[in-house]
Amino acid sequence: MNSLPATGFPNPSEDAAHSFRSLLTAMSHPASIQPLTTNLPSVAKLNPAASLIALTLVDHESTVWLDDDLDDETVKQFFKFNCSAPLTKQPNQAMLAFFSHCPSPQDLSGFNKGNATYPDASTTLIIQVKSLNHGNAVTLTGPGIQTEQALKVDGLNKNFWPWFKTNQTIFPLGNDVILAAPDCLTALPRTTKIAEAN
Amino acid sequence: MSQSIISPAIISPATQIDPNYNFAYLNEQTKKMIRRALLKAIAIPGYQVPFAGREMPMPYGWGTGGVQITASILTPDDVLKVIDQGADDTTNAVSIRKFFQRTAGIATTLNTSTATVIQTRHRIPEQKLQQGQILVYQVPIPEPLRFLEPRETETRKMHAFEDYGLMHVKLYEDISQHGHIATTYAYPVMVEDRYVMDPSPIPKFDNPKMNNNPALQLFGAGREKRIYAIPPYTKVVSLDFEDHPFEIQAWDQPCEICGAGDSFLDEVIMDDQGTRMFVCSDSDYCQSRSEVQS
Repeated sequence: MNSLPATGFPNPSEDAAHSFRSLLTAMSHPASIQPLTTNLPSVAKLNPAASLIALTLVDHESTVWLDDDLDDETVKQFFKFNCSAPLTKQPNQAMLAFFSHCPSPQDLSGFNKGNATYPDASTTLIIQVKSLNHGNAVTLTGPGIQTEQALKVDGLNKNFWPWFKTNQTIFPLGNDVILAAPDCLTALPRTTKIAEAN
Repeated sequence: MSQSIISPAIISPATQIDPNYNFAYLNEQTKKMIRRALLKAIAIPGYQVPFAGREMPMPYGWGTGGVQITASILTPDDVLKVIDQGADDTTNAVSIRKFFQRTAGIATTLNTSTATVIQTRHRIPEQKLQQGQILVYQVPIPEPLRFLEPRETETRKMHAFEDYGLMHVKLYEDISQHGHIATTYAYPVMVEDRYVMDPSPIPKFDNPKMNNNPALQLFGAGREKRIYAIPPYTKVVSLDFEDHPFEIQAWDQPCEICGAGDSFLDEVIMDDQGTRMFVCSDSDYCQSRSEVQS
């Protein structure tokens, strides 16, 4: 080890409480933009929102999968030191999967989608994106959205929304997605439907 | 009467945290585990997520599930309200409120619209909830099918196959025996056209309030170790039949303290001669209406 791992929250209990509350709000109001509640540095290619999510949700009971760009010593050290996280390279073993950039539908096919008796066993996908302020707009509906909610994302590839539509059809199975931009985050639970994709 | 005991102060300000406790009592790893379960519960509305419920410093049946959820969602900025059967001043409500004052140093209130988090036992407040508020229910038995099928392995499969015929048979037997659906509390609901859910033992009077509610509704069962949720603006329908539609309770008279004709009333026995009085079960609603009138 030639460097110390990046540190966690300055005030672990309160910072985690605030960041979880923004995740709770994001998941219960899909596609609503939540600012980051604590300023954290990037850890190699892990952006501040993704490291905030990791510090809030990951512990020794939650198996983490990292994509190739995140699978470097600095990031792994961060997960081990701050979260005691078991790391895996088996997608179907992962409780949470972190992506440095938008994966293709083929990349996502191996992740756990839950099963009929325990649909909650599915992998939660944390996908880093460039921005949640501009990019192509998508209109979303579903539980948590009063009428409809527009979401602009820069950094998703063109196959993401068709994949997400398919993901919606296997409800109650399916993957929940959290989009992590450098300065904010939002969530797309499996219940969210696409009204129109431009 | 409860109404005279409640102080008029809207918010009791934040206090010092007992330094012997982590913020909101639970350790950080327990909170992470509960927080992951909560996000899953919101993503699958009405589905019961198993969680590793901890022993709490209060007996099962006193709201250990609700307390664990509240402890996991509270931030230092929150204003907490706790009600038991609609009232802020009953033993359960007072002790849970004090628990969080001591372990989280949290500001508390008796006022429904001022609260950001409301933990409740068996009622939904009469005052309409707003977006951003969170209602945390204490749940004794989370499985709506449990009294019909005692095996968890079987009820899991029934939910998986959406096999809810047995529940309709139960409601039908009510009609054949009593002439109407005799279930008055813990009345089963269908969430987002998929999962049949136990709304906890709230009176069926409160069931319509769950539908399309702007607030987030979270349910915690401590002994049974289950968490489930209804996101805001979610469809919640009480089960019924075309020829026996769902109906809520109605009273012949208004509340005798505040005159409300639209609230859930408790029957209170006044003396040994059987004199009785009907009053609002929601103490904050009743008091705020009485104050406006006086």
